[in-house]
Amino acid sequence: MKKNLYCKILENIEIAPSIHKIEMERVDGFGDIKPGQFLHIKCSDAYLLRRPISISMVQKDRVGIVVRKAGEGTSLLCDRKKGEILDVLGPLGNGFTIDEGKNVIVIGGGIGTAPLLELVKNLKEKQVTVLLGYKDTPYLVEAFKDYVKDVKVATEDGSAGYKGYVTDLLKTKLENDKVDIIYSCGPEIMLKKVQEIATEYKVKSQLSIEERMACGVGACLVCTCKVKSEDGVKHVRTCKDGPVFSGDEVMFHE
Amino acid sequence: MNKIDMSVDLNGLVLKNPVTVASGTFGFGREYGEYVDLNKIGAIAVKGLTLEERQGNPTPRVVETPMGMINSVGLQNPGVDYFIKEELPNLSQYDTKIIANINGNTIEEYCKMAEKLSKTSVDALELNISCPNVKEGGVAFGRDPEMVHKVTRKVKENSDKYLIVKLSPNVSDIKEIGVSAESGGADCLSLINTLIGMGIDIEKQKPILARGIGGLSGPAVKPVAVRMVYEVSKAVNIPIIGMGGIMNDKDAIEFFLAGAWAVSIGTANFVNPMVSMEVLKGIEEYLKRKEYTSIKELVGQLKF
Ligand SMILES: Cc1cc2nc3c(=O)[nH]c(=O)nc-3n(C[C@H](O)[C@H](O)[C@H](O)COP(=O)(O)OP(=O)(O)OC[C@H]3O[C@@H](n4cnc5c(N)ncnc54)[C@H](O)[C@@H]3O)c2cc1C
Ligand SMILES: Cc1cc2nc3c(=O)[nH]c(=O)nc-3n(C[C@H](O)[C@H](O)[C@H](O)COP(=O)(O)O)c2cc1C
Ligand code: FES
Repeated sequence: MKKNLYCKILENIEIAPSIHKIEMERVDGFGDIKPGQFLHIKCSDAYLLRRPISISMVQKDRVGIVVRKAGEGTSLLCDRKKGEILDVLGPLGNGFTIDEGKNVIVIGGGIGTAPLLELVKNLKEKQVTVLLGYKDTPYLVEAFKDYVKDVKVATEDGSAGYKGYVTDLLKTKLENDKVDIIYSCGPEIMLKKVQEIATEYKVKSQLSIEERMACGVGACLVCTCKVKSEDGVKHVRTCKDGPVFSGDEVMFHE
Repeated sequence: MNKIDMSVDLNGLVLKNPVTVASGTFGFGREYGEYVDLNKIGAIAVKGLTLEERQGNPTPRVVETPMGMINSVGLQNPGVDYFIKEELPNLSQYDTKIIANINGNTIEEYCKMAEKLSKTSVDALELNISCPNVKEGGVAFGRDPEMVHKVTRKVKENSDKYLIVKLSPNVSDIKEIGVSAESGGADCLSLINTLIGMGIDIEKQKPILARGIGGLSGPAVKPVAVRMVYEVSKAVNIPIIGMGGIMNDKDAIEFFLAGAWAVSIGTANFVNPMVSMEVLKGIEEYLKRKEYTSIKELVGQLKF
């Protein structure tokens, strides 16, 4: 039977302004973890609901997350100290499916780069290009370089790498090279663009999407998203049926 | 010391213990079945059913507020036929009572669903006349004492199942509504459903929920719920299942003292999937400490 996991925080460091990397003990109960799965974390007693946060790094004895201070819940989570105990549900959701194709693009935007790190660790046998997009300060770039040679960065303000959107880099890559599959996570506006480009170049894609959640396990139906189905449109649960969906089924908000 | 008798007989519906889970917060039992042994729960009220499948409202469907949440799921569910065929057989394996929560746009729809469910192994029907998240039916029924009487009576005529009527707190006099449901033939009342609420994003100057308004639940509503259970229990002679913001054993005990015969846990499941078991254990310990021999002795024991 599954249960809440109580994990000691082993490390909490600010790796960029308002971005924290938190590593916790991998207690018994985590079981197998797939890249793209998430944890549902009780950030503090000041709030009722848990917050969904992707798993970014898995080691034998530790699990890492990367958190952006988006609002009060995630700010309180980032304030938690080494040695404190986190109340965690997980791993939850379905993760990325490692596809047969050999030529892979992994493209992330902002905090959406976090879960892709654990993904690329699992793509060792493949020809991988990693494209990372940020508004200003990049983070995790060196960590990606530990696994993949071909890592390109885009920043909107031009402070590092290519000046502009990371999806521009995606287009260039697809123009020039054969690609079998695109894995992506990032803000909705970026994922929408990735979906468009993938359709245009007829490349398969898997997208990790976000919705506001309550239970995180599939019981409350507050987190639904629209996917295409045989008879039109269907509401499925982002937490349980996702968060990773095939790019040709997800329907983004208008 | 002898074992404490936790069973309750709600005038015909016998629960092995008084801790149940609330409609819409436990799906059809599958997901939380990974966390709790469903055989140990007194009853499971399943996600609100409608005659036809429903896709629910657009997202965002949830906003957190101080010690509560507002949802606007809008009764997303696969429809009553699908429930009977695909979900009920799975639920029926467990040693727990199954309460089918039903929602109609019209009295006829309630009756049709009641008829369909009468032929199945569900243990009770729960008439939801209080959902704030749909346009027609729902809370519009629950606010009018005459309509409450009528829909209760019609459903009772069309079904031989044990009948629970779930009351909305969004009324000015809940006693009156409770009395109407009782006179219509309800075997039991459950309360409260969610309070209507709203959350606003001050940067965008727009509501956070796509639909604007939604149902408030969680610890924030508990004082309202306890008061309503207290008031209604004084006004009717049928049992009450109390709910609204129960997060732990202490909260649940308040409801028993106020007059509830059983309790139901909703939002708390989202925070702690094992909460129902912890509440049950806590109530038993309290009864032991206070030297009661059964849960029944606690009901309505508020000293005033
Ligand atoms: C599957 C999944 C994985 C995620 N992984 C990460 C990650 O690795 N790192 C990270 O920093 N963030 C991640 N997020 C986003 C993160 O959950 C939100 O930033 C966070 O919930 C905001 O909470 P808050 O209290 O700080 O903000 P507030 O805006 O105060 O939150 C209010 C409410 O909105 C909900 N909410 C707000 N934004 C989001 C959102 N984008 N997604 C889901 N719920 C939201 C909160 O849960 C809360 O109930 C992920 C979201 C999902 C769905
Ligand atoms: C996400 C969500 C969905 C709900 N869906 C239903 C429903 O389908 N039918 C119903 O009668 N009540 C529904 N409710 C109301 C609960 O059953 C319960 O009455 C209410 O949440 C108060 O209890 P709580 O504070 O413990 O959650 C829902 C509540 C929530 C939070
Ligand atoms: S968050 Fe409850 S079903 Fe997804």
